[in-house]
Amino acid sequence: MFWGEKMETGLVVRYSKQEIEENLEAYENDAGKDKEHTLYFVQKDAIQNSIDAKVDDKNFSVTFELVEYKKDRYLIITDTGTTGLLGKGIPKDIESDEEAVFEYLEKDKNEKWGRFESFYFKKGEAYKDLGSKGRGKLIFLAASVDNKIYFDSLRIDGTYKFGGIYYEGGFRRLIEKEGDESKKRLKENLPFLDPLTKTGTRIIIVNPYAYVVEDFKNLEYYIQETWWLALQKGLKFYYKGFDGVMKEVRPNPLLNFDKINESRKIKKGPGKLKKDTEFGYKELVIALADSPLDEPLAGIYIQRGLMKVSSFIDYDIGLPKENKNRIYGYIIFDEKTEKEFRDKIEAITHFAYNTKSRLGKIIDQFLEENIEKFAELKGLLNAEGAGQNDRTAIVVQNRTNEINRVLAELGIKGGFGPGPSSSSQSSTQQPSDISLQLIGLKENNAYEPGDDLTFNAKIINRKLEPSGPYYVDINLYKEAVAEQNRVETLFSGTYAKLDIDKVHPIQNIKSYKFPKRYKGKYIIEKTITDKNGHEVYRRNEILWVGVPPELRNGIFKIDLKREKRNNFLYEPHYNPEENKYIININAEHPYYKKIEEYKNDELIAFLTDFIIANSVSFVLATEPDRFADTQFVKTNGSFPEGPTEKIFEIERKNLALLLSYIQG
Amino acid sequence: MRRKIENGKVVKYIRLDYFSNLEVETAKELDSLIVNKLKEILKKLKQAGLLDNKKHDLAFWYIIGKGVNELIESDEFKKLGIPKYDLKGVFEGIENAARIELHIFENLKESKRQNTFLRNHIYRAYKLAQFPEEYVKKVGSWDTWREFLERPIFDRDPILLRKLLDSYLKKYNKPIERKTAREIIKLVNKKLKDYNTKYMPNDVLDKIIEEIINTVG
Repeated sequence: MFWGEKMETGLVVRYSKQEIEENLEAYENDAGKDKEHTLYFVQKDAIQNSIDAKVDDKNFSVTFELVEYKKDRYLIITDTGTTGLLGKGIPKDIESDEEAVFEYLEKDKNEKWGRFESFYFKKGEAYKDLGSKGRGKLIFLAASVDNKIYFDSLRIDGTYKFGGIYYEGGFRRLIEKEGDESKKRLKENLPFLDPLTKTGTRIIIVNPYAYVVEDFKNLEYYIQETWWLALQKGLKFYYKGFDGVMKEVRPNPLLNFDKINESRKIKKGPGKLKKDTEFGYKELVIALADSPLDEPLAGIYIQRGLMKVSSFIDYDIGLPKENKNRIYGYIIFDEKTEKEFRDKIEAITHFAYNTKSRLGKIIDQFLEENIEKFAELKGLLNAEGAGQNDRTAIVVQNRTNEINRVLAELGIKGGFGPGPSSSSQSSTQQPSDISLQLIGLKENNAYEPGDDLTFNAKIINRKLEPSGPYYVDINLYKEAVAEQNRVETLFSGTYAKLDIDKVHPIQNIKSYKFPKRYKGKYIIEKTITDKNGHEVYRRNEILWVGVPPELRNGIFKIDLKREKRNNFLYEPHYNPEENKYIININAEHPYYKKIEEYKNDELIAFLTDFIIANSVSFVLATEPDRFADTQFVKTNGSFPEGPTEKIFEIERKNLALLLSYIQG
Repeated sequence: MRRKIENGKVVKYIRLDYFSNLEVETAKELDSLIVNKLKEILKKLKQAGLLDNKKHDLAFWYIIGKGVNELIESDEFKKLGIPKYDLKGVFEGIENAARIELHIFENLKESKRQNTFLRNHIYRAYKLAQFPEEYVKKVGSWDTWREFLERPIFDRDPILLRKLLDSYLKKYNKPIERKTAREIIKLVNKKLKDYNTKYMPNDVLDKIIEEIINTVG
């Protein structure tokens, strides 16, 4: 055995390797990082324990070191300015009796050593205040290849104690006497270390996994993120890699909320989280960053003491992602709420909280409301909300169609034709053995409200077994194919036999009169089912009632996803401070450059006017009150910050087509 | 729905000038029908002692669903001439009214607006209440029912759902857990993907159902 036969060892009740795995998994789930980032979990727990035991701010520090000695590597975490791990440890005679150990720990609240080496996470009064639910320490073992850690502590009462936990057919612990014997054992096991000289605790993780060592370069970032408030308050954290240079963790300047301009943040508090409840908060700050932040930095940080528990970012107020990631801030609860939070809903991993509990729901709702207000104030929300189904989208769709249609009339065509743009239904198409064709639909499937829908149909069987029966259905849906959207069953019939390569007409198809008040999409769904209930044919036909058919490949394409901003020819942009609409025309856009070249070309002049007129009509259609103040502004590729309302984009290949036409 | 800020609060509103007088009248009538029905429902919930309970369980939703069914079947409602495929707006209206005027559903996330509304709370309750009450209780909790009710395949073919549930209850004679429900749904979607269950011969369908039920057990 590594530490020699004479050492006294004892049991660590309750733990198996499997529990370590499960514990790690819980961390992975709660923190949303995989086990390659175990160091992220380790630093949070280590610092949390140290801060719990903090005596004063001035002498407090936590240091992370990587050390190599002979063939082994060590990750050493040392804190100073803390009480140290007080207590004598669990007496050997009671160690196998779970209840007795528990009673022992509960009797003496200062028995931190015992709690550290026992790893109970039973819920009880003794555990509540000390944050010693035990799981945290499991993460240290999970970081070690050998599942082995040592720890020593110079306590505030001046005594020194050394201990360790290792795996040998079960978890075992070292039992050492305080004082000189402990110092001797430390030298035996870890000859490169001297006993602590300042009060504090040291945890030595033996042979950390390679990914933990690799991740060490991110440690500063991890601490900056999790402990940003502690760093603001002047607490010190250090780290030292294999290079032996001690560095201090500096606060992330982005997270200095005090320095953010008042116009870019709101600060509230103290107040109630919800009317007529006992829950309150001390301070809430929501701020707007210049550019989208990385995932862990975005969102509102839920603080518990100095520790950031998690970011609240899982809200849905119709914000585009890039704007969502610009919103950040923090909330600090009042004492009573914080206690409730810690005792009842905070996850044992410290990375999450129970969002389904009453308090969790209240917190989420409070934050969502405040973020929505903030986003509205800063003009980040579209007045109409986002999404393909809303009115604005329809307006933009119609404008784009108009432009495309005029261009088509001028002879500038992409791949035109009625039909779905690129969405779901057509994707399931495959060469079919049987077909059902509709005859007598209007051109381009375009109808007006109040029109009658009458048509005939025929079936041609190319390959399928002629003898049926075959069941044929033709249904009409509004907006989308779903049971609740079904308007009519236009035809439902059975064919006993479908001869190959013969035309089978479908008779008695019901006609339908489109109501006058609705404009939009209708869908005819055609299905043929064989005798086993197997669907041998399914196709949809889209009808456009009162709206122009979507052109499959118009010259202009709408990019509702707002991804490639620099490709935009123009962008309407609302400035909330001046209550003005600004239409930015991108002078860097290839199309615009061409316009400059061909200034005198009548067609180009017409097209440019047409496009600008369309952008104006866009504003007119969505925000008529603001039209009087609309400005046109030229920019060079990068738009001023602000929300993107809706965008037109010229597809590159179509642009070439357009230009080749213009050039003759 | 548009948003604006009034006295520092975000207010959602609808511009009525988009609609014709007739539509506005119909909407107002519908609104009063909904509110009256909701008051009835609220009374029933109070009587059953389900209102103080923050967790909305099966009985809660059954009472709501029953009420919604009554509303949609009522003559006053039928007079408004709202076709079946336009009920989406009605369900949304009921949910909003319940939230704003009666303060039920306070702990409930808002239903998302979608083309289909299988995830609309009210629609699910409406579908639930189309089964007999005793049967509903036998099948399982609200969580289980939710799983089934939000799947398009069962929405298209309620008989398929009834068959599945019947054969599960017959074989195991115990309520279905949510986990099991999900397994069943997974298998159904896998095995019946290319089928139109409406036209499947009974023996073929029964065989597949039996296979599914045996696998999950």
